Amino acid sequence: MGNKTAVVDSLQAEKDAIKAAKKAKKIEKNRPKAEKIQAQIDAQIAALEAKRDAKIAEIEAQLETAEGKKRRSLFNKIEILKRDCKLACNKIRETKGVKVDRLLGKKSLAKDLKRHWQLYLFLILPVVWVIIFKYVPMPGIIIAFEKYKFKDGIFGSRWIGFDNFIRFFNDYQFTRVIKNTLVLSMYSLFAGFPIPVIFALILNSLRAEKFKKVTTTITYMPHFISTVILVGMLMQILNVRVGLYGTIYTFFTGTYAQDPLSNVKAFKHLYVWSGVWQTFGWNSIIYTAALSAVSPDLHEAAEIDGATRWQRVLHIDLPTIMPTITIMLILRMGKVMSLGYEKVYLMQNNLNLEASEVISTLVYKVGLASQTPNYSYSTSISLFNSIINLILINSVNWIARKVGDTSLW
Amino acid sequence: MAKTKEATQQVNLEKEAAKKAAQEAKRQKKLAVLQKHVDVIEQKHAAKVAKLEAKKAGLDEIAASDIDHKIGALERKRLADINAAYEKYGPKKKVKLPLADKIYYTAIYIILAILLLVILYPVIYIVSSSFSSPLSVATGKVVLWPVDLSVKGYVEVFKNPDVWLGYRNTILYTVGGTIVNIVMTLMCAYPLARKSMPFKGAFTFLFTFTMLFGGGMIPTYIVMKHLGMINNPLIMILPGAIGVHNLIISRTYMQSSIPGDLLEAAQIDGCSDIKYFFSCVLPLATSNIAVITLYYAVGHWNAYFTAFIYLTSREYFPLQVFLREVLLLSQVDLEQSMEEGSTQVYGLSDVLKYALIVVATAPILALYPFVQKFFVKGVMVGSLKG
Repeated sequence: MGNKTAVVDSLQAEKDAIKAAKKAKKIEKNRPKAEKIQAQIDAQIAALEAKRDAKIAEIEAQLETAEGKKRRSLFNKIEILKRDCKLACNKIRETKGVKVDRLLGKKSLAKDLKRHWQLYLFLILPVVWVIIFKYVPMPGIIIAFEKYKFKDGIFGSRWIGFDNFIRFFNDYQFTRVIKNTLVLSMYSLFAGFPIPVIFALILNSLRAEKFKKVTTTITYMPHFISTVILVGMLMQILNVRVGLYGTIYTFFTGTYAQDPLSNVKAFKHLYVWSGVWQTFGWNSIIYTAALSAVSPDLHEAAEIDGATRWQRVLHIDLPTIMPTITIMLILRMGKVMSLGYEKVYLMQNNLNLEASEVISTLVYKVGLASQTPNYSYSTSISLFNSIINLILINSVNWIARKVGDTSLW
Repeated sequence: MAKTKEATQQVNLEKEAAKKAAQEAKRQKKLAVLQKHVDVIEQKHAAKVAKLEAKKAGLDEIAASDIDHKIGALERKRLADINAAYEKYGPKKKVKLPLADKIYYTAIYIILAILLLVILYPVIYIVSSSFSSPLSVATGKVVLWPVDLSVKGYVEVFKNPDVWLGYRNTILYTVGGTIVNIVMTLMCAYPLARKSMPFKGAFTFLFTFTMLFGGGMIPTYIVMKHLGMINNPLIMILPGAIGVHNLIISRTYMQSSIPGDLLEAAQIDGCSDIKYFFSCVLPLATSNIAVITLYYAVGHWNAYFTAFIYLTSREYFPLQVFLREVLLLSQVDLEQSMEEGSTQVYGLSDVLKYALIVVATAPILALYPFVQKFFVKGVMVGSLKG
């Protein structure tokens, strides 16, 4: 009996030894690769540190002539540089260091996975969801290149290449929807972007807490009104017979007004300004949040030096939220060609179609609302649109990274 | 001439003196009020202390020291109360503003007043119209306040079976959908917020990529058709089970607001990841949960396009679809009132619209002040650095 276990033990030991030898061999094999990565990490960190040192040297040169407050702020800058560099280095060490550890057998992926199995358990349902509802539809875009028939399915329908796209480019709707999409979103951008920033700055300079709270409560409120209700409100108020606009018009002129909702020229103003009404308060939250990061010391010091409130807004508050403004602007610029259909569709009627047909409503009408739905054509329009969006947001982000230091990714 | 000047000076002086006296009287009055408040606080404090002292008399040392502690706490409370009273009723320091600041503040108060007016007026107008009589609405008499107070619009709204049906469906979709949203989002955000998990970046990308690119309307529609989701109420809940934006907000919150040391300490104590989620992450993420709950609930309450595309039976329609029919397409049934004359009916349909707007928006607006204090925090942690 004892003999047998001894034999088993020795066999086991032999097995382990072979395993260990294999592992050692593998590690030996991986060593050059690991060393290469390590060298890369070291080089990257060295580069970062060199950059930091150069900047610090620059600041130190300025320090010799600076005095008082400026001197203090320069010292602060050096501290910030040091901290940022340290954080960046740590991040590199963490993400790439794991690879080195794995190659050298200090950590194993299998063990890491096993240790975190409960986290993967959490992820199962969300991943299944995202695959079914977001990724499974994606291959469906190939119907843009087909003459799709439901009975033939996505992969069985006849391939027609770029015919749908060519048809769209030659369609009389093409210039109209592109123009309307651009006009509506650019107008929204120019009218809607500065107001929340200004509003946040104003709100931030108020001292009466109660008044501030009431103001925010009231200005955030329209955000919670649904699109259907908003358009309904618009229609009621602008109604030429019983609405506020109609009543005032009739009171002054004695005649009935023309319906502004059917007016081609008025459409964009109504669309944009009702949007501004609904969202400016809500959109200011992000700037209010950014403004709360302003140190009160700065304001106190400026006040003692005799700066007026307006000067403090201009030279303290505004510079603080500048990075936030840049990022929000990038986001908005990247979305210039993606205009949602919800509100436009609800505000549309046959009379204002010339100004109100945009890409997304056309996609809906051609694809689903029409008597003879054309799935392929509709998909090609929306694919064209999403490719433009993808290019737009990436290039805008690229520009922002080149020009300034802020970018989304 | 000189005499009159002197006289006016005299009068001015007298006026000033009177003004000063009035101011002094006002100050005295304010001080008296303050003194009164302080007295009340002192009296209450003295009464409480006396009670405790009386209790202390017959007790042993340990219990007595306990009561001493209580008396100490009372003393602290008394000081805090008096401070609060001074803040509230005491003489206020007046800071004199430079002229430039005065102009600045006047300007911003004017701007704010205009903004508030612009926001509030349409809302007040609609609420007032909903409470006015149909005739005064039809003849355009309502300007600010209700004319001929009546609730006919509301009566008509609640008579409408579609409104009840829509309300029921919307509440079901909102409650059910929001629960699914919260569970799924937190389940997904927690692992993605953990630093050490392998393939974390890949999983995050799997979700964020869908923000940039998607299949589009028709391919999604075809997939839903194959899944049997056409005219299925589940369509209102499942496809939007996770909002990627809210997911990022939650993940960032968990990363930045829950200290990493806590996880280490829990792991040393042998706490599993699942247990850590329920006993540490969830209780610490309540303000984040409040914010995303509101976001999701508002989204469900206001959703109409999904229903519009995928649902065909009226019994499944949410409120917003019925609202569209009544408000935008003016498809409204008013048989009962037909015999009352045409102006009456015309006005009635408008009052009904106003009342419907109020009825459909009130619940969500009632919810939001409770969550308002979390907004800035929720947006701040979730913003930008995605």
